[in-house]
Amino acid sequence: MKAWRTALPVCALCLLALGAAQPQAQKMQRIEIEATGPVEIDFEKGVAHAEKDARLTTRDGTFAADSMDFTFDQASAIVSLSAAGHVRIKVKTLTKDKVERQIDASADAATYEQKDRLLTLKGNVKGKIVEPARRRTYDLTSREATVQLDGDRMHFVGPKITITQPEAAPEPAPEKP
Amino acid sequence: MVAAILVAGCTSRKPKPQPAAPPEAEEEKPALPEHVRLGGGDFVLTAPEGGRLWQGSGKSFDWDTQAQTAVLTDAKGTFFEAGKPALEGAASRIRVDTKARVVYLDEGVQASSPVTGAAFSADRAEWRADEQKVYGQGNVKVVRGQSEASADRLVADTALKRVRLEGEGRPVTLRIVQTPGKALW
Repeated sequence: MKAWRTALPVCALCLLALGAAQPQAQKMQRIEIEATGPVEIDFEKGVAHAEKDARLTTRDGTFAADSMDFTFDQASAIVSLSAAGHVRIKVKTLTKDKVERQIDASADAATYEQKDRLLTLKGNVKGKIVEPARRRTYDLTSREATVQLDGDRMHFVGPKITITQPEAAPEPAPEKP
Repeated sequence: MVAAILVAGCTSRKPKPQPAAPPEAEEEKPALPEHVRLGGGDFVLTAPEGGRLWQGSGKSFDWDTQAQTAVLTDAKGTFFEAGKPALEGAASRIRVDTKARVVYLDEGVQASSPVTGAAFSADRAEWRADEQKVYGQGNVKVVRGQSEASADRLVADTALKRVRLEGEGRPVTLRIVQTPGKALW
């Protein structure tokens, strides 16, 4: 299989328009957070802090780090999270039950905004982003990476991003009625 | 300093009065110190300056003159913060140490805050008036809305505004439900 490869230089900036994805299904989503250290919740301020081996799990992914901070709304739904120390994220985003994007990455720190689905990884970012439908893979070794999980925004800050994609991805055959 | 204590009769609330019922607690009341009174209504623990700290009632009431402690069974009560109700709590047994101004809740502790809407349950808990803090222990569960946290220990302010959860050899777990349209990813 022919592959198209490019290596971006140090401090490269890559902003890719990949086509807007459909929003996530309008379903209840169950989240489980575990931490071996204390967990502090401030209901008044709408913040929580999980210490020591913090791990957030949903049906479609995990987010693990030495510690995590969360902000949540009045309904106790998570609005944003930030993670510090040995961050590891493994998430797949789905559109109509098809995997839109898989992210498997590690970093020193990370933040995530639920509203914009914006994940920012900082410091020693390593990992992979796979888009099965586009047969595209991003191999990351960067200082910083920002990815809109279900959208078209990606922003990388060097030193090296390798994008692998077949030269001519075959068009999917139209479905028969 | 000695806390002013108003003990206002935690009498049994029986649905039908028994014909040969034993004398009520009021009639059996032991010799009480000057700052303790027993009458009809709730047991009230007040601060030296007179502010209400805890007010509760139970099916039965025992007063230990020596230790200056009250024990209420099948009890419930309200914890106050700056004179305002901050936490409603119930347990099979509530012991009030009037000297130390500590309220102990044993067995099947259920508490909820009218301030934050958060609630917790635990095997046992204690509330220290001087610290304005509640300590829960054993099978601790904190619930607010559709979210729930499980732990072995809890430390919180009276109104459950700030809650600290700890595990004893097992992790603290939070289960959160993201409402439709707010899926995390």
